Amino acid sequence: MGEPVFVYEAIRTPRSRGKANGRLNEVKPIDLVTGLLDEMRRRHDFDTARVDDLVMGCVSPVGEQGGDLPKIALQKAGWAQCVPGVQLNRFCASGLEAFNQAAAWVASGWEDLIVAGGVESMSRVAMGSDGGPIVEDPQTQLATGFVPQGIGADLIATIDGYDRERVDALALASQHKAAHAQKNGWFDRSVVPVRDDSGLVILDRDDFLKPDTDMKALGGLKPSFGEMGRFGYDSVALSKYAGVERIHHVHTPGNSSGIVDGAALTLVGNEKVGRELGLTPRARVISIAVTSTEPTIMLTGPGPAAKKALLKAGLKPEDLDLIEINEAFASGVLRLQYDLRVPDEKLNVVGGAIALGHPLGATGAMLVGTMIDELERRKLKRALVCLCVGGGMGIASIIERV
Amino acid sequence: MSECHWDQDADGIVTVTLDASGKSANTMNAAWAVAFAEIVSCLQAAKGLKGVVFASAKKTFFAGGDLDELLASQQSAQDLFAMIERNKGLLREVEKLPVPVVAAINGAALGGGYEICLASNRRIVVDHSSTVVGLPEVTLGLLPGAGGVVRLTALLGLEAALPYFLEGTAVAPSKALAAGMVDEIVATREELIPAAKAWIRSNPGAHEQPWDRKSFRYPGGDANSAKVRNVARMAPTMLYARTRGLMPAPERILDIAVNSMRMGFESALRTESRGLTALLPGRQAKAAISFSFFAMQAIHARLGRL
Repeated sequence: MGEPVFVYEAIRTPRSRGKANGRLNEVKPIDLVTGLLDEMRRRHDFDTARVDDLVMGCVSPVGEQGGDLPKIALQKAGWAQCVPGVQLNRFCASGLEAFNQAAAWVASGWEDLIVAGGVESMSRVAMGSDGGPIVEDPQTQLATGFVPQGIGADLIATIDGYDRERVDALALASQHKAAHAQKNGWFDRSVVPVRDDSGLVILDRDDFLKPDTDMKALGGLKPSFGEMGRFGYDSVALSKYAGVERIHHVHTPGNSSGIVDGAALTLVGNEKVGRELGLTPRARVISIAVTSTEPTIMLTGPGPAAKKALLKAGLKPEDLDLIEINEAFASGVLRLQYDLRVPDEKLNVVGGAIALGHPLGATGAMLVGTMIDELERRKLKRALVCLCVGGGMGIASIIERV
Repeated sequence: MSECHWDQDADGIVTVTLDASGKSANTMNAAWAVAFAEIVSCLQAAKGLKGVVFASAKKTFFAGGDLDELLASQQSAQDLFAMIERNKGLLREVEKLPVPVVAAINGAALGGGYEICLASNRRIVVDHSSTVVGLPEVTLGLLPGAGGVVRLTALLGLEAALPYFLEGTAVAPSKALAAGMVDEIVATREELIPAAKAWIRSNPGAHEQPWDRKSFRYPGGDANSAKVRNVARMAPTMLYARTRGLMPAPERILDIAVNSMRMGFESALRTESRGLTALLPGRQAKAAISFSFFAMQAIHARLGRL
């Protein structure tokens, strides 16, 4: 690897229900970003002209989220006009993809300082509103064996033998860990309150959590994808998995990631720029990886991506102190846990998207912040962040506390 | 209730007659807020309630915000926002009553006055030369903060609604009827309340606002329609050409109207409150209120005596 890459900051908005009654529904996607840009400048008081690029993930980059939102957010936030911005989309990996691309640019030596993150207002720009051939072109859909992610998640649970109780137990643990972390202020360093133009706080903490839920309440929820499966997706999926007799639909809103609004930014740069701007490095990027696996089951990419990142870094799973896998669906977490043989106490230590929500394009960057906070708080060394991704892709990053 | 009178008839229809004590006109001031909150809770608790008529004991229906109070206000942004949300919340409660609500508009219904009408299920207006409806807040450097921007956009559609809150024009009954700002005209004041009650009796189920229905679509197209997107594209530039960026109020109104269509109704109402909270302490608003209203009022009074 080239130039050492440091993470100087990682901040995010709180996450709130991504529906009309969510607290961030009234906030424009661009303002989720400008609020964080303001905070980045406020915290570090640096000359924004030193930033080489703003790279942001967004999975439905249309309408209010379209038109290269990152560049426009820079203009709106009054950053130096020499700072460019770009939006990218690697489905649910987008936030981490932005971070990884920033790391790669800095490592290459061709850029010094990049702000990377993501944004998704799922309440205002609904998931899927960007269309695409995989869902809206019949020939492509039929040729690729497309099924919605949830069907893939249920297929993983069926193949791996995770019953409803197992996936619900993981969900409950996520709720408990997240509630504990929030109660103890573990998110406070990263979470930046969203304010209105008068400075009034619109939302200052994650509010999707359901800390009082229990196995009974979770067990009472109706499976989300049973009907979809019967509608025809189960047969599409099973055409590739001949050994599976039928798919057990175990995923519900309670053990799948929450649909929420939110944004996140990280500040990634080399050592020199950090020194010149008086920034304190918080973590170092050790390796990054992206890969792809069987697309119909779709959510099995994190393990192979993690292994690829470990290989690049010359590390083994047991060299990792913390492992964060996006809780898109409970079965995907359990699959990754099995793939890397992760002990419970290292995995998603402050809960995940089941409790806190998954603002598609932002989540990856949020998880980087979560891991840096936890490495610092627990005085540990090394963490891996990974996500499952549409199309069977997987993405991972390994960071070390400085 | 010194600010309004309550009269429940044999059919279960309550007529609430607004009658601000010691004032020539009804305004949305602190005393109104207290009285109206009481009215709303009485309406919610009323036994055998079949409908509500809002009427006025003054020559005008309702004059809008209390400009003396607004000009003198030294409230923090937090308190301003809370006050605006409280008043707006009362109108939302009215809107959610399980019975039809009719505004019996006997004279000018401007600003907050017309916003009360917008929160009603039907607007009946008397055909008189002094009767106008409208949202003139923009002329005072402010915006309609009691749901006017959000509701008029939902009632008329974006393109049709824009002139009324961007220019603040007061609209006479026949034009208001043609535009859809009111639903019915009666010839005399005496016919007003009977007409309101007759409508309630023949439409007992008409208590849900169009925008609270699942099937609601904005007249003239939703946020993603080509037409509305085009308005969103063109309107800011057209506004700038007229104001040269010197007037924050119409800019905010335009932004809130457009964005109100991109979020839930309650969220939109909140952004409207935030917009007014941001405008109220501004120099432009204070100057516009002092000049456009109080100075012009003094000039008219002097001219009247000549």
